[in-house]
Amino acid sequence: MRLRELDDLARLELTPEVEEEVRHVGPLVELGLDAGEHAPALPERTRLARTALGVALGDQLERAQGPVLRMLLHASSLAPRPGRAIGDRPDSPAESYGACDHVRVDAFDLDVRRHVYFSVVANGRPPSVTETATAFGREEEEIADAYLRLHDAHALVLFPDTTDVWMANPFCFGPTPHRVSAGGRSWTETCAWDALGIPAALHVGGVVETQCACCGEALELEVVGDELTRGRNFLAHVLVPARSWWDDIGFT
Amino acid sequence: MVFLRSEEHLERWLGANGWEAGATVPAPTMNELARAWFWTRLEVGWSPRAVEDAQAILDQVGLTGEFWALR
Repeated sequence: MRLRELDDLARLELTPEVEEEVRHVGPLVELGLDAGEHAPALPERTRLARTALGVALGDQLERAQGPVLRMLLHASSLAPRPGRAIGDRPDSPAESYGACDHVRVDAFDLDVRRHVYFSVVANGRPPSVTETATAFGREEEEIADAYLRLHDAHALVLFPDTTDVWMANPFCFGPTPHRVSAGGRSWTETCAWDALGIPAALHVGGVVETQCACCGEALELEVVGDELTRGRNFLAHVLVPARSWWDDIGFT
Repeated sequence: MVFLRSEEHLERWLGANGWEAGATVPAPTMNELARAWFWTRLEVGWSPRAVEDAQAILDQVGLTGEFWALR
């Protein structure tokens, strides 16, 4: 099935029956696999519903909401990608500028990373290693290793000495004084760049509530469409030169 | 990477912390950068961005020069 075919299906009603069906197939679909191959006995409409919802929500349907579906099934996500299946580019360096040019992630790592991001959008938080292991049907150790490789490759950021996700940029899961309202949810973010990156990643507008680094006074910025419509006179300041951003990403 | 109300607040903030200035980016430019940088982040087929492609995004929004060199 081509992803483009899913557009109208994103409007399907989330009935209990559909939710129950998708719960079983979602992780497969989220990995870019054809639900039809894995559930061949199902009627066509059921397969379509499973695929549409599974792409957006993976195995986490309990808190699903309509806006989440619309956010993820936007036009560019549905664009055809002929000749290349999801996650089939092995051994790619992930944003490897800085000190980690040697770090590489493989297709499985990219599948894990995708699951993390989709879970973040669906649930507002990243999945634990245990949750991801369950979704993939793999051992926790395998998933923990993937999380660590993604961290080393700068494709995720883990809290120090843990396998808990701190940042799936632009989303952040540590305490910060910054909030972004976008896509029907309130998010936290690490910095000015990520704050504006959240509405960008979700392909929606949004409101950033932050503070002046100097005086702590509240600052509010708003993105409508692609444009910054409020807070246009504010400044962002980057202390660290680009090649050193990942030396201490928390400070950067 | 922080937001500041004005140039005056920026100078005061740098002075109070004893930091040398890095690069100052107008908020609209930061929004432009964020749109370009993160637009594909949730796409099903996302894969790691090559350094050259990342550098091209910085160039595209006018963030050029030694400070913005990724390597």
